[in-house]
Amino acid sequence: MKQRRQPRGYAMMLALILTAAVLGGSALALQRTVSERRAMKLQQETVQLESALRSGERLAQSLVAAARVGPQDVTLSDVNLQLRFTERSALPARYDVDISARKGSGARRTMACYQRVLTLPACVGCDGAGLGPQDVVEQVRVLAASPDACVHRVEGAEPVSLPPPECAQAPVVVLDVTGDVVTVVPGTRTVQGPQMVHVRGARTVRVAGVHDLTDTLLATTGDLELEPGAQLKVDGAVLVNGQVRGAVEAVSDEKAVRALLSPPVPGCTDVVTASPG
Amino acid sequence: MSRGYTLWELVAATTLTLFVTLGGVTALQVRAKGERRADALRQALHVVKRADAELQKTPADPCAVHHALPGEKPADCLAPRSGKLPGGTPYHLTLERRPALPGTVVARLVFMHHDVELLRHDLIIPVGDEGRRP
Repeated sequence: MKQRRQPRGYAMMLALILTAAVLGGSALALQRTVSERRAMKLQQETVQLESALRSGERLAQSLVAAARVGPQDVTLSDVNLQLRFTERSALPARYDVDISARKGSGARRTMACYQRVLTLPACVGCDGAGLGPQDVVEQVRVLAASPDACVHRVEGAEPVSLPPPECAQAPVVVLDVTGDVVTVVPGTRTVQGPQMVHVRGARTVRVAGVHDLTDTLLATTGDLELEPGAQLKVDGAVLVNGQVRGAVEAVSDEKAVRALLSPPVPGCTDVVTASPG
Repeated sequence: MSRGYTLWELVAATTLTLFVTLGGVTALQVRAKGERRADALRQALHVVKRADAELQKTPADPCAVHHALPGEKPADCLAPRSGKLPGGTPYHLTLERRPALPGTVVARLVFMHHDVELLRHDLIIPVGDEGRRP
């Protein structure tokens, strides 16, 4: 009797072991699938949230550039994006932006800072005569009374040089220095002390820091449609090969002041707005 | 010698073997299916990351999203586009303006897996009001 039952017992044991192994293996495989799926979901959430934050930054940049700053609640696929602006300064227009993204239980948040900067083509309609980044300008003057002047290269030490005829119609304004001429020489030098410069329109423009003369001052004048006789205050500007590296800040009593150019603030991104050329 | 197994024993053993085998095969199938889905999702997320990276380089360029997708980009970057990722995952790209988001275009990437939506992701592109950089 005992001898007869033994093989059956072994078979039973083997079957049970086999069953346990297959079931255990299946359970492990399923568990692994579930945990992988969870990890993928987490990865998906991370990628989507991070991407939504980048989208939020681009949106904030676009809104600052277009002067349409305001709270934004946006749904991007299944991510909720929220933008909250805080004005850091009106002049120059500088905003802190709190960007947060939510998806399910996940959330990400970032802070960014944007300031509006306007640019204008150096010389519209007169190719080659405009002040390029490689040009060396000996002397630059504002022709305040001239509505259609053009930034141009002045040879030698001539205090005043009229713009070339082809620039006559170009809607670009140059700067006029009262009592002194802003002299730009090859290399780097610093303009000492405050200097008063006439530019059409702006009440006060401060230059201190890093900016391009062609972009900043021209943008200021071009964008504001400045009136003759307004003053520019140039203070401690660093001039490098025809470029004023500094901040330009235009202050006016009028609401329309938009040409705000200022030194880069750490963590603050310049939003460049091209003015109509 | 041992006598043969009873009918009930044979039926029980066969049923158990069948169930266990079926269970094992199903588990393997589920796992394989899960892996294929995970692979497709991984690829889709890679495209999203690449599109984001391209947009970081040229934020206002709708063509940047196209650069992240395999194949040739269309002449008009604002035109919709469909195709397949190297792994065979179909994708659809549409770019549309939303009234709530002036000055921008929203690029929507939809990835499919076995005719089911696998991933949908929107990217904001600040193209300006006239379709130019703001």
